[in-house]
Amino acid sequence: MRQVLRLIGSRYGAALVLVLVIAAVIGFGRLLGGARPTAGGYEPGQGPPAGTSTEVTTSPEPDDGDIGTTGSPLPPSTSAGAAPASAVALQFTRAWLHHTGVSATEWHAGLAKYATKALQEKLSGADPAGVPASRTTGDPSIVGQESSYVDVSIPLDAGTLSLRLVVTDGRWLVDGVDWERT
Amino acid sequence: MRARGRIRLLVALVVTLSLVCCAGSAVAFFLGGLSNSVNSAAFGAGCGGKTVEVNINLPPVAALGPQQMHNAAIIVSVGQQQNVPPRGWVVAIATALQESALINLGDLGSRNDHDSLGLFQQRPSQGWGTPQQIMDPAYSSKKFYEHLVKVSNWLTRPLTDVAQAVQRSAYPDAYAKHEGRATQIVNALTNGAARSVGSVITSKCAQPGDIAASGWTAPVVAEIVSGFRTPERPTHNGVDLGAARGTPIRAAAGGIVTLVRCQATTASGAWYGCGQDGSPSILGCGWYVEITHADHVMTRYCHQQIQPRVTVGQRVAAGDIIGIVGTTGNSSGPHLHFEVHLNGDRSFAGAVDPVPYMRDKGAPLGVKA
Repeated sequence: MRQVLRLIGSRYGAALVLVLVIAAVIGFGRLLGGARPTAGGYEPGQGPPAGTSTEVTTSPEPDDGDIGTTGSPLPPSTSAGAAPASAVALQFTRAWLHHTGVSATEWHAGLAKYATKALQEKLSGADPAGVPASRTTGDPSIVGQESSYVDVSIPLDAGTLSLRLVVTDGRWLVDGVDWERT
Repeated sequence: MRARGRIRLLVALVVTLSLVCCAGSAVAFFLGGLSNSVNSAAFGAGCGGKTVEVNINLPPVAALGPQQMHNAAIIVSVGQQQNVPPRGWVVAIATALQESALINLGDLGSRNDHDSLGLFQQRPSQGWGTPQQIMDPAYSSKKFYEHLVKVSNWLTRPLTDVAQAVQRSAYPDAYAKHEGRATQIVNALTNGAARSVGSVITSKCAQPGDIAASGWTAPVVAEIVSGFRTPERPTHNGVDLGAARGTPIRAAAGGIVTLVRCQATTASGAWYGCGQDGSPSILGCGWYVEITHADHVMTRYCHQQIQPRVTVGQRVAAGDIIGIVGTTGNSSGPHLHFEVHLNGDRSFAGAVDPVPYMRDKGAPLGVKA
């Protein structure tokens, strides 16, 4: 008995007791708490909610989603005198179609005037020989408009070219090129 | 002194024995909540593991004819033989859908003014092989995968960027629109490989938080605390995920951010704002984001704590952090209200139940069971 007491009094004993106490506290907490960890990530300092379920709503509002007050999106602001999106789309399309009798360098330079840097990079290495059409067969039409971009569709002899234009430095530039064969 | 020695021996013995015999279970006991296994039955569908047989009659999917199905089977089969992770099969099928509609195209004569051939429209003049080789679907698939796996970060980048890095086409964004159909085809051929973790070769069901081979992932890993259009909330057009305040919200798939704004008014229509927590008496989504994905699919993420960290027009990849969970707008406590809309329809009519939609993409909502 005295040996046990002496053990507890020693450094080792004290350490052992502390370990046991910590283990008991954590273990007990987990047994009681039902241990339902959430996906972590709340900001330190803000503190975890005491069991997320108490803080999370389960009813009573009918719809906590969008209430549909959008209206039509505002067109992005271009500088005064900037060409409209459909005109830029048509110029890009003409440069894109102009793929025979030009070098790859010339073809890329022609597109670069109407393309964002991101699109120019994605087109790097593209061969003008791979352009699958040769002429337009109708006018460009705006098929989708969001507050930051427009989608323009241009009918070509072998399919439909769809361009996404964004405003960069006050003017419309083509940022995306999609192609669908007919 | 002898007593001191015995004590040391005793302590050493206790420590050693407990490490040897009980450390595992002790760790499991203390950390068990963090490493629970998954109840895959809860997610229903398969996650791959089926080796594609090419020479059988394949049930047609995604409106493909028998010849197209056969070619799709060859593409996936070659990917399996080359140990390319399933995400690569989805990229390959989507690329072939764009380039050839999965029809092994020979020279189109006057209709093509270059020398592209086969399922992936590869060109002999650009070093892809002889015309005879390229017209062999197994060969052309193999060449496609050889280039694909050299593309930097191909497993996580948007499908169309990765496909374009291989194809070097004049239409870099054209591959995106085929991602959904390619996922369907791969799932049909492999019993759900596009629902497995995108980056691993062995088939393993994607868990909440993983990015599946389909290119989709859960926006947060949290319990579903309120479902889609329940009897109590028939106009609840999404699901509420009970994540804690501050939890990062991730883009469910690659796409372009098409809306970022605060929507919070009082019942009388007066502006309330998102600089403070909302409440059930406030109307609107709070701080929210909409992302438009391939196939005219839109996802919406409501009640964010602070102004989202993305801007309109920004391109995001699956898993990118777009903001953090909060309780702005019409909300009684921190959670993520998550919606999925089809056909580019942002309204009530376009919304579908995110639970089966995400499960089918291999990106189940909820927590590990």
